[in-house]
Amino acid sequence: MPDKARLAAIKVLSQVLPADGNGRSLRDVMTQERGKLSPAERGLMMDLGYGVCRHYRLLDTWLASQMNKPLRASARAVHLALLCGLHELWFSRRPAHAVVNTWPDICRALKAPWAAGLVNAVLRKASTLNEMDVRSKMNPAQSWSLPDWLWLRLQQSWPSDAAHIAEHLCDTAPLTVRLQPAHADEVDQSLRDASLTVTRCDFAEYGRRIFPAHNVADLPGFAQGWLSVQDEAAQLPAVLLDVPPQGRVLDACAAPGGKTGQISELFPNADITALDVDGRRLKQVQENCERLGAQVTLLEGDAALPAQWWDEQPFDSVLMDVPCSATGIIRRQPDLKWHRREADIAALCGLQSRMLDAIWPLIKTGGTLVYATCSILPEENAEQVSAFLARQPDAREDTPVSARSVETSVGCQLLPQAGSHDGFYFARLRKR
Amino acid sequence: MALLEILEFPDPRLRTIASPVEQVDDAMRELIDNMFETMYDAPGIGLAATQVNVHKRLLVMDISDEGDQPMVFINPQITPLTDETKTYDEGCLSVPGFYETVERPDRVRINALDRNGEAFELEADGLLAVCIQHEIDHLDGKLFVDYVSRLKRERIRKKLEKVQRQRA
Repeated sequence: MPDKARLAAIKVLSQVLPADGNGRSLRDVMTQERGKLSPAERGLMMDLGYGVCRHYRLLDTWLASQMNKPLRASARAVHLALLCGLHELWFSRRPAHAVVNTWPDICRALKAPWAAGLVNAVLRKASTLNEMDVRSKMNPAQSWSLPDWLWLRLQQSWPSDAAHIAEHLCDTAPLTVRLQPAHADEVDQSLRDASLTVTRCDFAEYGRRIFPAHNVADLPGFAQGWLSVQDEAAQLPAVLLDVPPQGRVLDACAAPGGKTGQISELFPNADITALDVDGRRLKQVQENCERLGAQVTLLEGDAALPAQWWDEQPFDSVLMDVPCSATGIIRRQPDLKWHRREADIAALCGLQSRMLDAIWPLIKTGGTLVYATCSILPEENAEQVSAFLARQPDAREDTPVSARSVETSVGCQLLPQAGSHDGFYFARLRKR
Repeated sequence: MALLEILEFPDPRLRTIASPVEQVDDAMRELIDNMFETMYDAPGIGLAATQVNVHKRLLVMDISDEGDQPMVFINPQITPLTDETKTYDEGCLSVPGFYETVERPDRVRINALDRNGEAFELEADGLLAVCIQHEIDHLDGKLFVDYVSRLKRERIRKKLEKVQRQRA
């Protein structure tokens, strides 16, 4: 019953992209709905839900150009049905006539029979066009479905690469996993035996991309903890931690625990503390660590307020994967584009610098802090770190030359690459 | 015979880890012939199946000056025979126009199957050792640019992407 999937997609999108703009997270709503569907229905629902969020502005701009007056806010479900139909026409392989015939029926199921004729007419017109025709009449922010403020910031930050970045932010991201070093060969082999294509990551030694994308819990070795879902870029900062034998490590913003697990794989003898401000998400860290067999001390607390949780024992090394705009992972969470507000950026920058200042005194002389974000905005990244270095005379930049990137003079800025890693930033700082 | 398309860095398909060849049959020999033709045409001295988007453990080489000594390696395995390493300025048909210094073991033993599926063993040093290690890296999804700094690699990537965009 594909209609069940399409109706579920409308239900999801009406919570993620409601008319008043205050939407819930796509991932959370999806998780709640997916259990109610068969695998095939789930695939279609996810395709529509993620696709409409990904191409929202493109679809909506074209739709607006076809309407004499906008649909009423109370007709949000019909509005979303139209966007889903357009997405199916331009971004799926389903035959156009089937798509044009399907959505008027969905309107009836949505108790909006008045819209069936409208939907039929709009989709019929759209079926004579393709993605390229539509893009050619739009400005870049519309075409690559970015809010104006973000497109402007990308142009300011990356004058020669902005169009490229915007285009790649509309891509789908590959399924990337991290293998446990001790089991890497075994997992490589069993994945290929399962007829999956396994490709090696460019920079992360134990990173593999798996095609076709797959429910990760079904992959061989998952239950034993031999592989974990983690983008290639996110696998790079923990490797830079400098941990002496039996050293004390803090993962300062640990949830959901992907990097915590990686730290325990890299430094099995280290004394690892995983801190997170959100007790509920700390549970995820715990589950992750249990699956990987990682021994970690869990601590609920705010990295910006160590007085509330620190035991006065200094750390050799700290990983700070701070809260950020997440603009580097828009491919994986396209609803971010419509939930993030420009004002959030300054607030996040403020929080990041408070966390840096609060954690720095907890580090031993000679110790290291690896700062990381999944952002592609310099104010959260190289500019944030440069400002910190300017106000902390006992801090120096210590990112290994081999890990630096061309995009920035401080640390390593990764921009999203087609078929490859997300946008990400990290820098290692050392205490004099 | 036919010329095959050679994948170019940073094409993610070059990162595929190849599976062992299970049967050396006529289809495999046809692929081998096409790979030789593609390699001589490029021109190059080695070509791994990965580079022509076939993800099987198979490579062809000819390091002779005259181009009259074709060598086939199926399911090759190498064992380093010395701790000594040598550096060599390597290039690659998948990274056209760039040469970088790479350090590798100087002497290796190679075990592989030939084009008839017969097992053979060979000890190699010099250019042969460099070339076979470079080609086996391809079968494991690795490229010689993985041995240079990220800065250098990113510069190569950007330049090649620009060329590829202009060609498209």
